[in-house]
Amino acid sequence: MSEKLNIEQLIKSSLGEAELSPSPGVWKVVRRNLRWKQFARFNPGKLNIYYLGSLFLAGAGLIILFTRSVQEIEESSVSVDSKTIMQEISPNLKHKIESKDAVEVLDNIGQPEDQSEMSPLESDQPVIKVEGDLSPDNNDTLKAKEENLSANNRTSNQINEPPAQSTLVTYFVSSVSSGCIPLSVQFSNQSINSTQSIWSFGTGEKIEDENPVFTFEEAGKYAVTLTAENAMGQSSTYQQFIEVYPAPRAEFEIEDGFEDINGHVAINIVNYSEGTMSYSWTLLNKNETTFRDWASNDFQPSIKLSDLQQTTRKIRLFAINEFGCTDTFTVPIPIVVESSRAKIKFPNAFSPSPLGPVGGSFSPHEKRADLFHPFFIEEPLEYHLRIYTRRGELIFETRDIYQGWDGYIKQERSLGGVYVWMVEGVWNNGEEIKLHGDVTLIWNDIW
Amino acid sequence: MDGEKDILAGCIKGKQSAQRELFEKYSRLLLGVCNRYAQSLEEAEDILQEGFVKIFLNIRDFKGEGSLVAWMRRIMINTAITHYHKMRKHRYHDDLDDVNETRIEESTWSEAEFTREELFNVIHQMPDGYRVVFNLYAVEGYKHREIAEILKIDENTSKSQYSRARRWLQERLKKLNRSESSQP
Repeated sequence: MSEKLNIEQLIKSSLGEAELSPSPGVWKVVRRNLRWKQFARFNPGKLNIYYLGSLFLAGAGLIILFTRSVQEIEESSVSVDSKTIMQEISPNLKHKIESKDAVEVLDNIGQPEDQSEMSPLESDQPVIKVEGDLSPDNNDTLKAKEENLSANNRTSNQINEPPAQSTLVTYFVSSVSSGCIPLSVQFSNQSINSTQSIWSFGTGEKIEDENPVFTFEEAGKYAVTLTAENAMGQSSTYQQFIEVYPAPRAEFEIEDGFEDINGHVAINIVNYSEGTMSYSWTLLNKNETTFRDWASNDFQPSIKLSDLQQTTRKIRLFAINEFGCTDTFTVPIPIVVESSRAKIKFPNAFSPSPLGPVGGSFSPHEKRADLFHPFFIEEPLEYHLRIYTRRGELIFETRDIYQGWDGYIKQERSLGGVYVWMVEGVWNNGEEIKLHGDVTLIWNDIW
Repeated sequence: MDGEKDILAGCIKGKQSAQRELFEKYSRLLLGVCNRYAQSLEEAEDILQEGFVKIFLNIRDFKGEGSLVAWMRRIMINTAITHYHKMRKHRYHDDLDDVNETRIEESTWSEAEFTREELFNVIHQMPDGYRVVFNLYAVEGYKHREIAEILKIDENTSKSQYSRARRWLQERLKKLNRSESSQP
């Protein structure tokens, strides 16, 4: 007899750590509710209701702004808002305005040593002058001003270059001014009369080099500064901005197993991508070439089993963000109905009725342990099953898929043991069936 | 299979495979917990489901102090209590005084006398208020002061409810024993 317990001890020891199996539907409900809650909850990385809401507001705002700006242009009185409009109307102006912003950013960040080191020579940055001219002008005059400006710059450069041989001119060009991470940029030093060049890349690193290549690993706007020194110890700096765009992160999972919707078997995808604007899904064949008959731009497409070809092996997501940066992610398809092997299955053992031959027919979806017969998800167009003894004697054959072998030959019991089977046939899609294997016959007699 | 750390990291990232693993690993134990607080297994599954959603939504907040199981258990218990508060509005109140106050002598039991199912059944039939207080005190080991805080009741109410819950349980178990032994 076990020890006597008081009521607390009894309940605690019997039920305190009791385990119960939840019914299979619980996980689905968890997933469903979780998905909805995650959508309703603010998460900066994922699409959710707040993003949709703000997208809607932003869209409405843009429409209002656009209609207003059209009116204003008609009235040909361009106000301060024109800055925004300009960016949309004349793309060739855009970078100029951006570079102005860049200087503003620099000012805000406040890099005192850079600023103090700026010599008057760097007035070759167009930006500072643009500032005052922007607002009162309309489109055309602004363009004209821009041209004047760049002309001014050229002249100012020319003015800077010729004087005394020792005059230091600091200048460089970069192979690109913007791009996706990781962004490798080749800088070429075009300074005149410099004896020493120190580069800083806005990342805190400083190196001494003539023509460095630098790789930006993180997104952001970087002020690349070249500080050159001449033989007389005078120094000056030149600065240019490199804009590094973030890359999207493509990632997804194939939802466990297949889900049956309206009798269609489908692969469901759970998309975890971040920072992505558009999605492009493709199916890949064995040799990684894309499968042309299926593609989707949905956030989470559902792929019907019928979309999959025998050779389909992987699903690839190609993600693009608003800067045009891309990422890809590929996942193998877990259970592929790749060959006839998966569409039709044969048991490796069976035990016939000891009471006598039962005939061998069975009905669709039936799984009989007393017959040797296939399990299949689709009826083949043609089907031919043959069963041989180990010595190669044909003992049974049928062309009816609903006809199995009951273990008897001419009303006589066959010997227990291993038999070899072969199947030949054709599926509805024209694909050939060619399978073979062995099966063990077991007599389960009571005596 | 992944270790608990990997599962946890995956759940923090929101990976479905990790969530699935966590569910597979602990849902049985946690359903056992929920079932002690519910009127039926269905209600227990509701609590389990709600609790798991909370777990996945808040798993970032799990600081790694103490064990993950203990943390999940606490979430389940909290969910069960919220459920109890919600349900109390809808359910008929069989309040505290439906048990006769006659003293019954303290009985002792052996684990072998009842099956787990019988005990769960008795727990399910318990008045809601008794069940929550009894579980919190006897199984989870909370103090009456803490229970009073959790359930927003008076500490004395917790104590008296507990002693009534005890008495109610003892009577039920005795009846169960008698009816069992009367049927050979």
